[in-house]
Amino acid sequence: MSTFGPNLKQLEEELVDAGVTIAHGLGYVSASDTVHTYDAAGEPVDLPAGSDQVVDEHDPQPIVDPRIAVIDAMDVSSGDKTKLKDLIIG
Amino acid sequence: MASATTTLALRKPATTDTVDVTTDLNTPFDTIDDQFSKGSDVASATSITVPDESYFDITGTTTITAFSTENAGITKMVQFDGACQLTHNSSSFNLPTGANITTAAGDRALFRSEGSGNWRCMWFQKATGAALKIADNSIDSDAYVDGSIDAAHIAADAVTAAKIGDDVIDSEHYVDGSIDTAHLANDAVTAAKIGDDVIDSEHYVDGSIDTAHIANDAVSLAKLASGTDGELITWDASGDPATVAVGTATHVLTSNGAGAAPTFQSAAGGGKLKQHTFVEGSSGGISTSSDSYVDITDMKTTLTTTGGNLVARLTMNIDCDNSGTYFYVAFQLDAASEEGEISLQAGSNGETHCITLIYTFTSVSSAEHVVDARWHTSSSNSLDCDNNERYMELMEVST
Repeated sequence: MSTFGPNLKQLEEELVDAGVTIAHGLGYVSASDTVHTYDAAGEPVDLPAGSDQVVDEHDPQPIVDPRIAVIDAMDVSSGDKTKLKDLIIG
Repeated sequence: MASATTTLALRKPATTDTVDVTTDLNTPFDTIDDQFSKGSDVASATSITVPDESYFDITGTTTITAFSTENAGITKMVQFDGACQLTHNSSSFNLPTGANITTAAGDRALFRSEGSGNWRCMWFQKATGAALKIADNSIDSDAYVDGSIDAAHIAADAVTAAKIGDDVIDSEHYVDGSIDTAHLANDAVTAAKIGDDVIDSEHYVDGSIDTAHIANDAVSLAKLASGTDGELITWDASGDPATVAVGTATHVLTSNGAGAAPTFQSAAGGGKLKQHTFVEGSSGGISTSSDSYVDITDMKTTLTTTGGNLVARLTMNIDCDNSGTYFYVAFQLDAASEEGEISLQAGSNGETHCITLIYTFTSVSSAEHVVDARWHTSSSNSLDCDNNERYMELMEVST
């Protein structure tokens, strides 16, 4: 998992929810702490208008391995969940 | 008064002689008296009629060539009052030295008749006391006061080289600038006689300075004739200096073997590296969530090639946010489709992969080319590259 910056997939969903079209995903550069999107050629371009507030309000959440999420949702003891996660993660 | 031509006819009288006072006494006595008297001045003339008196002056300046006839033995003392010429004649008017005499006022002479109109000048005394003539080669230097011979008494060009001492003529005796080339001996002007830094190039014959007269390491770059920027100096087949023409950019100097000047040429085959560029991450960590190819920040470089192959290499760390995520990396030449793609799938969240991608674009044209490293992820995931952990180089190599 990234140790820096926004959760891009989360932010992309937040932008879409806010009505901002993101056609080619997002990019992030830590040195300038800026988020951008891409044009059709894959060149970085500024986010569309209306993105600023969404970006400012973005609260990145840790990305959870979907397999872990399934184990966490299982009706088994926590000791068994740990054993199952160890089988996946090692 | 009796004439000097009158015969004196002195004789001892006899007891029976009678004496005629006029004839026998007065006339002889007059004759004798003349020998002790000064006659009237006589004007100079070609022929002088001498008076009875033994002494007279000659005036005027007319040339005199003869005296009137008198008995042999008659002498006449003469004083000249002017400048006139006495013309020598060895018989009739014999003068001392055998040469004509030009008189001056006060000069005196004694003439003696030799009869028949012939006269001999017994002596001639100049009023100045000077000698009428000095015998040739008879005056020794003792006769001169030390230092008395002035310049006027030395004939022009009379002082010969033999009369000048060795090493005695100082430069003050030469007129400034008077010593011309003819008076300088060949090779006489030594280096010591030439001032420092005074010989200008005009004194050298064109092309006369040979190699032996140029010091080692004396020809500086500034002394070389200007040439064309980028040319090199070589020697041609005749051994003469020549230039290697400016080659094309990025061409290399290539030997053409013995007897031929080198030339700039495109580097021959063999995969030789012709150019190289290198870039590294400088924007810190980067992320992307794009599921189609996009530029990897900072991983772009440009080369102006001369035609050949372009080899691109990318090394970077890629973190996959989620398990099962695929990531794809490829190069893009001049915004064309990606080439050299590789892909990997993450086994778990945050799994880091250090990847190296190498790809060769073959036979690219001679032009400026831009190569991008690009990446993308599978849907619903994102990729990271922490810090600046990405490097890219681009090399042009010979085909």
